[in-house]
Amino acid sequence: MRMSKSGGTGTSTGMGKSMDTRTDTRTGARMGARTGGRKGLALALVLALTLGVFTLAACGGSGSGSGTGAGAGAGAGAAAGGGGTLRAAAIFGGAINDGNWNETQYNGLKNLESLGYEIKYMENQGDTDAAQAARDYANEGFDLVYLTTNSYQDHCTPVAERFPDTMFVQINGTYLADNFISVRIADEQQGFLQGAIAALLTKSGNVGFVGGQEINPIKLGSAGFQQGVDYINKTYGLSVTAHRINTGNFTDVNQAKETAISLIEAGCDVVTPMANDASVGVMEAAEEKGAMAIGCGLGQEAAAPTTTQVIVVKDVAVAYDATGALFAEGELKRPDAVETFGANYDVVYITDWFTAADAEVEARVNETLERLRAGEIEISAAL
Amino acid sequence: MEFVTNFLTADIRTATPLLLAALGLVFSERAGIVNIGTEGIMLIGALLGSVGAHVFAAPFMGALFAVLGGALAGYVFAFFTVTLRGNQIVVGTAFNIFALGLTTTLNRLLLAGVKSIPGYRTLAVPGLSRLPALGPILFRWSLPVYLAFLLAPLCWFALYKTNTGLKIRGVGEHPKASDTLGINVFRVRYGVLIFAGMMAGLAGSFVSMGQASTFIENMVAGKGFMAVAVCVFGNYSPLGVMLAALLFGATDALKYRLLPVVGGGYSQFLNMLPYVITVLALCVFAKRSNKPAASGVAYRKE
Amino acid sequence: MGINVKKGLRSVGFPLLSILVALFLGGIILALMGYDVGAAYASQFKGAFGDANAIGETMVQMVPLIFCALSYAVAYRCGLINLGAEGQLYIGAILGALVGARVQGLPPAAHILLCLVAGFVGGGLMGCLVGALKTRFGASELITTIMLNYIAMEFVAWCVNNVPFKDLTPGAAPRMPAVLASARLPIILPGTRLHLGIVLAVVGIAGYYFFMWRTTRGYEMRVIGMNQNAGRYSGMNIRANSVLAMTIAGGYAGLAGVTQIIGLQFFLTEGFSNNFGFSGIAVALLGSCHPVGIGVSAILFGALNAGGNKMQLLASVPAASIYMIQGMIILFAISRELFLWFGKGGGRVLALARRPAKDGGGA
Repeated sequence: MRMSKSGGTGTSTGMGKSMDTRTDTRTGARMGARTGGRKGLALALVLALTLGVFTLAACGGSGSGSGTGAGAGAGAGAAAGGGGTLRAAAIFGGAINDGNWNETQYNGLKNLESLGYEIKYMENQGDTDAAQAARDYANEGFDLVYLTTNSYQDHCTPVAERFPDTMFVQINGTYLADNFISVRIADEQQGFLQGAIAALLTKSGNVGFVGGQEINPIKLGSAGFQQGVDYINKTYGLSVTAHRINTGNFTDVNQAKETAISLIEAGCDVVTPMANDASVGVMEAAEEKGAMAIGCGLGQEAAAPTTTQVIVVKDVAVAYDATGALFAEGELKRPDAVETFGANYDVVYITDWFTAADAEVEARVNETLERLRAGEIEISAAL
Repeated sequence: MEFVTNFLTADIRTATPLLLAALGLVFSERAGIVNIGTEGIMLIGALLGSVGAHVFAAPFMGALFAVLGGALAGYVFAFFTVTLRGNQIVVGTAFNIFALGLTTTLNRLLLAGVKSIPGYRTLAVPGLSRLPALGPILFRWSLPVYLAFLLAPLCWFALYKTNTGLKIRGVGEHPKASDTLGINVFRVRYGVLIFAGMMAGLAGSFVSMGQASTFIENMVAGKGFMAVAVCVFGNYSPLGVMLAALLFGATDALKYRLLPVVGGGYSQFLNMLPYVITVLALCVFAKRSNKPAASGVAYRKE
Repeated sequence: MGINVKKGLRSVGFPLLSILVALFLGGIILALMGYDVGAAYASQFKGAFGDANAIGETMVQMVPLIFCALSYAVAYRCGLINLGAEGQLYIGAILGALVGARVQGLPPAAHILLCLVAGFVGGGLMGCLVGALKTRFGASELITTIMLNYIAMEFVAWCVNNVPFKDLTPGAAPRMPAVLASARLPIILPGTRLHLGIVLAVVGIAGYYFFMWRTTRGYEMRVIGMNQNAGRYSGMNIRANSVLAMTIAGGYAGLAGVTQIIGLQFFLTEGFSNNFGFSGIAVALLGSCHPVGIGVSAILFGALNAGGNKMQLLASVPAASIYMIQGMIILFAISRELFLWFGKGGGRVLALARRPAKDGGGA
């Protein structure tokens, strides 16, 4: 309060001195050139004062409430165990409502609430900021920290070494330690099923895949798509050609859409996306151009109500349910090898058909899925 | 033939939001304001368009929301750059950061769980749209597309053949002389910025309701910056801007058509294509630039 | 002297009030969304200045901001607008990462120096290109820099995904190989991430000061920046100075990229820059492109970034709300005349708002 007054005084004293006249159309540059020194000093003072305000705010904060934010920890009070609530956090590379990779993981994190966890999260974090966030969560005494992107791993392993009491779960990682467990999501299996279904559906013999930014899950999915098409060709004696393009972007819907349109115009009659938010662009392209679409996330049929055939879901939440439950029982231990969550755990599965599929196609799709579940199909996960 | 039709329709689809936004920018740039906040205003338009269309289940309401929101954003931009004489580049940058936060927040509040919204409907011109080749290229579009291309000559007329246009250009070239002649520099600049905001809002709504039919966080993805570039390399003239937008759309359409051919490893270089063409076009055309003399400089009334 | 103190107070008043207003409005937004405003700002403060680690974080954030601000400032002093720091930063980072990973057997000091030179050269080439396009063809640097940003980012996307630049470690995310230990900047505050980059940034500021205010070249640039005609009539070479200014500007941005790689990231990945190029513009202008001003406003923005992360982490305020508050702070902080406007009510005050722009001289 006092501080804003002193500012006000400054304002009024300023008025009197401002009658000097000067004409200069390049005032901006001139001002910049001349008043720098004073302003530098001024800013130093401003900063000091601002800090004071922050301090006041800080005191107010600690006085007025316990400081738990809204939006998180709704049902956290009801802990399952007797001694203290377990706390879990997740750090996301993208937005938690991307309808795909991050959203299913966010749902998984929310599921932990029903197991008695208190949850927090950060989104849109770059690699090194994620490491800092992991350090902070560990420092705050969080029990379980999920790292949702494989590029976090190298920056976060030193953090895990420093905080042995916190368990870190790296999605799509490779590293294992007593308190650092990697689980692998079978991205290539989702792509494989998309490719297999597309190859079974196509009439033109050409099927298209539109990926997003070239990160490992997308690359694996794209490679899986190719292998799915090859598998169907080999198994059922077809000759379908796969066309795969990555746009390099997860948010530019129009780019994904135009890419899909160009694929359709080049002869593909089935298209399928793997581009998080931007995936809807591919679905819309199919709807407008009358091509068949295979979705990659729940709800995408809304963008292509008449041409969506089926959706191949990759529900990473399953991995959270599994690890969260094990951890709550004290059973989450370092495994001998990184475990892969795919069709075997229903992380990758197929929805009901949205259009009446050809009985033979449906039978072959189910057959392929069953063989995948049973581990009878080898899919290369090499990058 | 079909390739040409496909190519040109893709060109127009991509060019439309750039053209809409750049037509507004022509006026504000000509009056001496550099508005790189267009990116943020378009994002606001994209969100408000989706909200309006979703709530009232009518694309028209979406357009209305987007235009009004754009006008408000333009007004605020004018307040900070014209009245308070804030640095236009920084105000624009701040606008973009703020808009990203605002639209993301509102999206999660108002459009949570909404996967699809009613987008602009295609209005085929009866009869003409059945023409071979020309039909789909010229007469099978949604309203904002027709509007964009009809506005270009209208804007040209307004800028070069009307008194208002003369005032706007005068304010950009020599604000002090204009002031001496009794033209209210501030009012002109407020006016053009509000108009530019409305156009950017409409352009944004076309991104979320024309190119797509849903709002995605940060979906404008640089189109606002491209609109500024289109304005400059269209030489600050409405008709030039139309050609520039179509040229940009064409390089974009070409890029998409080369992607399946070139495939994998070199797609990034194809993605550079529109930007490289823009730089080259700037180099070729910059010599006879219409860039106003007082561009980017706040006016200080004596 | 008395007058100067008054002036000092006055120029403190505006930005301070601006920031307070922005925080206040931000608080209203947070409250409307159901967050505990006190807790949010408390965590902001705690994250920026709460302990040694927090102060280290703030300074870590300052490093690229200072270099990018210097990049904008050098060009601005010469009458050019450099919106291309983001792209220059990436190209500098690519060259720096290459030298850091591929050149072997050097002692740390030499290796680090070589990386820094590579970063400066990379960014400088980008800047030089902009300057050349401007002086040779008259292509507006406002647009060419934005276009080159996109081009640079696509090039990064290519580098991290393709031979010969990508990291070939099995299972690695798309990135360039890690820089060798000998190229990594030492940590200067044990237990934090604070690396030598902050010292380099301060040296960068000093270099900016000496070049601009203590050399003939710098003097010429400032004259051209203030009034191109005056420069031309006194026989200065506008073209050469413009190209040189853009080259140095690009070089500074390149240093932002390379210090981020060898000090913090060690790997070059797509999108590693947290919009530093654009935040740097705000830092430069809030600091009036003055050496001290840039340093101080970098503290403010570094604190905002570091504290913003903590606001998200501790008070569960979503990143989106933090963007809004940061946008408003920039907006209000540079609009120093806002309070004159409020003080006297509307347009009439504008006539009074003219500040005398004398004294404080060129030196």
